[in-house]
Amino acid sequence: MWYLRNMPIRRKLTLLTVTISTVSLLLASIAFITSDRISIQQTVSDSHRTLADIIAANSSAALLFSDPVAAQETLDFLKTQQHIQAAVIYSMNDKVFARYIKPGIKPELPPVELQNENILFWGDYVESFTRITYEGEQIGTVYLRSDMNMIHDRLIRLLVIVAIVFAVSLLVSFALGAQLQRVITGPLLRLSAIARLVSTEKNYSVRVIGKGSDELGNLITDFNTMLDEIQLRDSELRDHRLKLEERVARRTRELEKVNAQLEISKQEAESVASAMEYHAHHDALTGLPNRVLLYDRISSELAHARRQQSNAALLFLDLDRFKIINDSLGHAVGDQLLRIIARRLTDCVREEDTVARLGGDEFMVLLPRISGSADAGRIAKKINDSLVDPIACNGHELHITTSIGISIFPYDGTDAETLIKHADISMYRAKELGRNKAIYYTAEMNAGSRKQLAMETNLRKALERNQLSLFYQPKVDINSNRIVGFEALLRWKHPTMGFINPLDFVPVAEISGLIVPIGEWVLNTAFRQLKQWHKAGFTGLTISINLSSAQLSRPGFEDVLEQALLESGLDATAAEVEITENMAMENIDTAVSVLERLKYIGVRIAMDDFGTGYSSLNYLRRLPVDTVKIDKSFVREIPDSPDDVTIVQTIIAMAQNLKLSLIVEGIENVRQLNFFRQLGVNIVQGYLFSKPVEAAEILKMLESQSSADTINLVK
Amino acid sequence: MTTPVDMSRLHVPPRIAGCLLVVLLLSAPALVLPAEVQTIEYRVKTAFLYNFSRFVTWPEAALQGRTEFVLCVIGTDPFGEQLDKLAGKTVHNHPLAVRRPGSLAMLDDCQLVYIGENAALAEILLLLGEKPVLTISEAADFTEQGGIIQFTLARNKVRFKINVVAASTAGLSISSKLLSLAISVTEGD
Repeated sequence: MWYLRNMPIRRKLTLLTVTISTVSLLLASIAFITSDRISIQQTVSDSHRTLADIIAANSSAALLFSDPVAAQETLDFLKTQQHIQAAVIYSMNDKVFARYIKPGIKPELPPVELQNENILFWGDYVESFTRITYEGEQIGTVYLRSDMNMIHDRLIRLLVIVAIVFAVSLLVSFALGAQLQRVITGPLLRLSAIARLVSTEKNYSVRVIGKGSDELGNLITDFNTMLDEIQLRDSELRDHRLKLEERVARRTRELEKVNAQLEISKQEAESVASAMEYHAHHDALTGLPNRVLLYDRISSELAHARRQQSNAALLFLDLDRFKIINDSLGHAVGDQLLRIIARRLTDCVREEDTVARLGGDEFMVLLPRISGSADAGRIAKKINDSLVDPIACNGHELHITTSIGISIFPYDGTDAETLIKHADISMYRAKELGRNKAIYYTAEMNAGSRKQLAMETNLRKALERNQLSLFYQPKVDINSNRIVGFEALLRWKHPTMGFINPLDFVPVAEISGLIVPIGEWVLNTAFRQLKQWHKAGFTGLTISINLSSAQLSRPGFEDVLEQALLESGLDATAAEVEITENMAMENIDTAVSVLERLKYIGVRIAMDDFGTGYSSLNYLRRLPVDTVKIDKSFVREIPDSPDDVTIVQTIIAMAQNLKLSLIVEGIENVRQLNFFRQLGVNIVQGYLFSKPVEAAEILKMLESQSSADTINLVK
Repeated sequence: MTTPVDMSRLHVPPRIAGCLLVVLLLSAPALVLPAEVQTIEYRVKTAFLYNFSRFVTWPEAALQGRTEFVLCVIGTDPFGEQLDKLAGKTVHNHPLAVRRPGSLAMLDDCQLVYIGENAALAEILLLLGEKPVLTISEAADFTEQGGIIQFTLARNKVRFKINVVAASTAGLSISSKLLSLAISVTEGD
């Protein structure tokens, strides 16, 4: 089968032709010979029957009249029949009655028993038995035996003829097949030659010549079409390659140029790398280790401390009020200040200690291998003391302090993260306790932050369960003694803990982000409430809402407020927002844009707690403030405290000069009222008139005021 | 042609019988016992009578309307009961009947007449003359006297002579096959 598969097609086709003709010839020959054989046998048996009939007819009388001599005579004619070798007539008692044997032959005669009538073909002779009857009665049997050699000769002659015809036919079919196969292999050979030419010489311009619409014709047409396609692609490809080579050459030249330059700057690069290595681990401004290097050192020192069972301390430093200096004197001054402080901090510590700047005004000091927590306290004190001397900076004499939180390994934590967190917490505690202090971390501080978390959870529930409510404190015109507006104040009544101080929960709300939904709730509730009172006939009243810094710095807050106004149907001019200096300072740019937008739509802006912060005129000038609200801390000792009197007089003068409205809060007695009345203040609020009360109380007040035309003092 | 001897029918003492058997067997072809030969001869002749009737053709009128083909023996009957065995065989589509008429007048009904010894041969031949009756006899010169078939013996074999003229006078035609077997045939000029 392998041989056949690899045989050339022309041989396959020839083989096919020859095989088919051989098979057909063989079959034809077999049929022919078989038919001839059958017809010969037929002829022979016919001849036997005829001869036997003649003998029977001629010998019947002889048999009947027991005349063998006469019977013998009837056999004489057989001499003329060349192929008859013997003939025997048997009488009915199985006796040989007469017989004829061809001269020169001694055939074996059959046994004397009477044979049935039949004819038998043996190898080289045929014998037959035929009954002799007379008038339907058997009177004997004739046996005939004839020679088959003559017939064999005839068969051999036939075979020779068949073989000759066979051979001639094979030759003819081979010759015809060899010629006819070219009809198929010719186009294939041309196709194959062209394909080889294409693949070896990459010559795509050649084509196969061939016509016809049979499968081969189609194949040639398709092949040529394919070559057209390839030729087209090839030329396109060559163009592309040329362009590409050109481009590569150009690039190579450029690269060589660049390479040369690179060689030159290699040394530079190495120095840059080491510089980058340094920058990755150091603060660019102060040159101190940065957070990355610090954490690295903390890890390795803690590992060391663990092995040696020694102590280590972390000091978390945050400069007090640095932001104000930075904002008011500019970044250049701030930066210089930070560099000087960094130098002073470094001077306060040992060689093996690490002072790092975490960013902004935050620093961290790592004190490894200390003998006890007291060592850390001493270093912290030293740091605080080192900043007592004013710092000369760009012609400014700057006073700066720092709050320090201390955590000790292993008491306050055994890993870097915990120690840093705890130092951070105690630093905030130091700030709370009045700044310029160093505080050790205690477990209670952490409990404090857990308390904060519980507060946050409760606050979230409070918002969902409507535990929040608004109280309103009236603002009173002291000339007419009539209520002109209210300050809305948030109250949280916890079901078990009672009223919770806003100072406790508002910072938590700011940190957790809950201030956003709470703030919205406040706006909606207050605006709706005021609108109700307006509808009840008490027109002209205003409402003030305290904003938190989170609200103010949140983009889109102005839209929230506008939406609340729209929903309540309240006129924007009846609304006022109160902000603090500190809030505005945290993100002055956003604050300015939000407040300007609010002012544009008609909302009034009040500066709350004025005088407690930095009271920077700079801020007052930049913010679109309508009203200044004097904080109650200045009011409390009026008119007994000369300092407070001076401050209040200054503020009032400033406000009047800047054409700002004034309001004073915390008026608790008539002396205070008279004092401010003399200074020209018109609007006040305080316990003297009313503490913050629920909306229902306010309605009563308004109703009684309209009937009495004056406000009843509640307290 | 020899016929086996039925030993049981011979009342011979066993010893002598054994010797006789040996003699018989050793000399079988040559041995001819007169009584036996006669029996065989007439058995053959009986068969010949029947066969003759099959090779001879009677005029249609002779057999038409008849129910039997009648074979008659007149004079001394040499066949005995052998001949009666032919009765019932078919000859020219007629059942064969054997009769032994006592008078010549009864010969008119016969199609084949065997004339034995002690018969008035000349008278019978005269009587039958041109009638379609096949006449057969073993009498010497039978054919010369006008008989149709005459038995003879040649080398101990039964043969026959035929007078074709007599046959044609009687209106009978004889098959050429039969004629070819006859040892002599009397023909007219």
